[in-house]
Amino acid sequence: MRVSIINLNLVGQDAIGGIILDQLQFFRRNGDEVQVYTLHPPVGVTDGEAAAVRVVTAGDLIGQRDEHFATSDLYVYHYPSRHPLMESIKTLARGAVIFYFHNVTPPEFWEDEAEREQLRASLEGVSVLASYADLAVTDSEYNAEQLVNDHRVDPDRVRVLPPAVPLDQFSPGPKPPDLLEQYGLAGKRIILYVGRMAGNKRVDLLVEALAQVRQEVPNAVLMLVGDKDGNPSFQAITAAAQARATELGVADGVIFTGRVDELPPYYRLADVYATASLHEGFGVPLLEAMASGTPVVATDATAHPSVLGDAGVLVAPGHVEALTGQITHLLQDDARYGELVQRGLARARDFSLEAYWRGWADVIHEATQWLPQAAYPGPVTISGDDKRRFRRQYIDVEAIGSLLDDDLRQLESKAEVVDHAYAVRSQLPVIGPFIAWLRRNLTSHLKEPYVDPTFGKQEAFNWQTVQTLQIMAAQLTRSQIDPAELAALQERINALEQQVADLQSTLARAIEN
Amino acid sequence: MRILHVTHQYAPAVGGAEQYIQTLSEELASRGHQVDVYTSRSREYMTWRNELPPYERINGVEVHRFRAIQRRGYTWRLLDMGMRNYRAVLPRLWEPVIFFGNGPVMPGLGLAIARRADRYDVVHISNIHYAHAWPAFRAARRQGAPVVVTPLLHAEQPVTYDVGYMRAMLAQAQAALALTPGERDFMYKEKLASKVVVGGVGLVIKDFPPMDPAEARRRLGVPQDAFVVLFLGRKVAYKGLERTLAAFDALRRQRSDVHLLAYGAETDESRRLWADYAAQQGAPLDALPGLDVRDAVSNEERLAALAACDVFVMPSTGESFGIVYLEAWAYGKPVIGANIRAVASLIDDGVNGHLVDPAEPDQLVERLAGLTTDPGRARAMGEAGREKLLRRYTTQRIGDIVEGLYRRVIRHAGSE
Repeated sequence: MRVSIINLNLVGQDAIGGIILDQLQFFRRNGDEVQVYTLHPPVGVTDGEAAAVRVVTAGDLIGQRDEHFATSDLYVYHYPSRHPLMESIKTLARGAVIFYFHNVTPPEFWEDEAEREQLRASLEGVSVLASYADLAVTDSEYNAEQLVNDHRVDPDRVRVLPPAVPLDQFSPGPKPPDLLEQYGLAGKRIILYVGRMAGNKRVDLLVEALAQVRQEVPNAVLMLVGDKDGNPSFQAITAAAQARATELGVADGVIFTGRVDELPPYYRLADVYATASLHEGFGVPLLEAMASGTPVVATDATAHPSVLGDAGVLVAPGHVEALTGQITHLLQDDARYGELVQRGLARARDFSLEAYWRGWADVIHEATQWLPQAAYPGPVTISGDDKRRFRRQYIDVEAIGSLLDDDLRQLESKAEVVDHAYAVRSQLPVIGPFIAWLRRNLTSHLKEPYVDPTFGKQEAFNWQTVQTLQIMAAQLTRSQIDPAELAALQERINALEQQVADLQSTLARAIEN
Repeated sequence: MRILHVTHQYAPAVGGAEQYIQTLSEELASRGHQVDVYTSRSREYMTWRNELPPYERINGVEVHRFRAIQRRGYTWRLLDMGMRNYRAVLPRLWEPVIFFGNGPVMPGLGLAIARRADRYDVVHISNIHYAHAWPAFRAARRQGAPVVVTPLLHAEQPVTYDVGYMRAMLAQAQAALALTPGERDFMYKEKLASKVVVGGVGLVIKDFPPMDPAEARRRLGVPQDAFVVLFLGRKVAYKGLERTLAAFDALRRQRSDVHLLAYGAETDESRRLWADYAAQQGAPLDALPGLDVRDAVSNEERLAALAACDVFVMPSTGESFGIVYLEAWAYGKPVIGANIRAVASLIDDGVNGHLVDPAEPDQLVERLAGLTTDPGRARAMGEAGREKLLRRYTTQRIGDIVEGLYRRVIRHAGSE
């Protein structure tokens, strides 16, 4: 299959860039020919990834000047805002189209009139552009509701697919000494925020909160990681936040790092992750924080609740006291802190790359189903051949739980063994009805008292088997222990044993003395 | 886009299917698409008599009409014979008989499509069980034009879908349009089609002009301060008139300002119901206080009733969609329906109306009493309903869905 992915840009560090790279890897693993088309040259990606990117203009795509683009079977249009390459969605002459909606920040959060205009245009564009797509895919339920309610997208054609967090990069660990030294943070309790300094993120509330947190926890500092000068309004917001910090007498504890090359060490540096954002289409930093073992305090707004689940603390939007209270509480209550770290780690594992790929494979299958020759294999029958193919295709053999799910779904669909619509017929002209009547009546002594009940019993047995297996599968999935978790536990036990041994020897020495 | 709609009859012929395709054609034409309609010259499916002019332009839609072989006694008998024998012996043999018996057989229409299908980007055929559909389908596919079908099938009437050529059309079309989620699920379940989009029923909002409730009440002779319950629909048993009347009677005992307007064509069942009720009350029907019963009403009266009421009640157990609830919402009125699948997928209980269990008559009384005591909430529910209507069930919205579907099937045809 030929695949074209279209977006404004490809930035390795941002959320949409991450999703595009995951998709790129997915298609390459499946042996598809894939190209990424962007308006701007890629930033922060490996050479191998950059090789798949072509920088084009809208005219190149609309005029079908690129051969790969003109002959693709699947087009994935990412929509961060209305960009010129989007227009080519209207001129496609073939293939299936996925409209990938990353939400648009409401214009009222922006100061600059020109930017507000751009965002308004972006919002208005959604309904028309999405109407060309076979499926609209988005990160969260919140976005899906917006697509249906505000942009009039047919609910039957909207799919929710949360992005993956790279668990190999974002993992718990000790505070990196070089960063502690660089920012002079030794002995400090660090409140972290990651994101652009945009209006909807309300970093000013975090500054207010810091001033109040410091009354209880004097060594608290606020670290703001993310773009602060890529845009005039970011600069204005940063300047305003700094001025407010000076006013409140906490300027020494507010650190703006600007954009950084590597995020994971910053999450390990942090004691608490906090955000006062009023509008998020998903909120990837929340996931990254949870995966890094940093507890999260976030506003109960837009997509935040669905990302956090029960693994973080939600506070009322725009409410500084609530934010302060929760941050202080977390920094002081070790038991609750430990519990949230564990829950966060467990939650982050739900957003693994494998889970994303499985969901993505389903979406592609659905989107391409309407093509004259469906390019992707669909749900398959239970024959051994098909099953091997299915496994090889995109199911990670390690993911036993989901494999069972698929098998069970197939079993369930096969449980009904009786052809209820069957009727005795005869193809012969004229005497046909008579023969059919004869056959019906000659077999009725067997059919009604014997054959029908036998099949009925078989069907009942099938249903019960499927149900029992489903229950067993559910129990099995629940009882599985993650090896990483097991290793971590083992490590803790070892450390505790070591501690006990140390104490014993100390005690023995004390007694001796 | 250049769009061809093929249908058995078109306005000024009347009927649900005719209305559906006309609304859709005009909506698409108003968006700047070229919409042509090929249809029969008949306005009456019992005879397929050729009455209407061969060419007309109606609200921006070009209507081409073709002569049909008329239905007479022998065609009906053929249809009957075909249907009876179809399942028993040699189905393929009886298919042409059913086809001919259904009508309208229009050789000119098939030929015209075979010659001109390349002038259109997409061909949309509605009402697959009539005889315009199959030749149109074959001709369009031969020319390589993508075909969308709206089967308008009735699950309880296999004659509308369960004949070989109808099934073939559904299975081979580029997409099928279902009016309701229920119809879509049925098509999937019976494996009739694999590519179904729900893009069904929408109100033409301008057909429901705003009206002052006080003025509407004056016109209908209803007191201004009364609490008005409206029942609107053909008075057959499954529509729930009897339950509504019982609830009205119970409510009337609690407060005397409750009025019931029961408008809609009377049937034998309903006449008996009224006679029983009048006898029980010991007074003639038109002398009973608070009760206003009318047979089939004009459109003006209908709209006035919708504007005048406080709540619309129709606990019907046999709706396939429930368009009348939408009409009540158009006037910002809360609605009460029975908790059956089609209606439950329309009304959100407690948000824009109520769903009641048809087996529990007390529930309806309770819900109505609740609305009488809290008019603010009733109004809010009505407004919520109107909002939902404007968001999901307008012709513009249906136009969006169908336009998007055309775009997709046209693009997919490029992959062939």
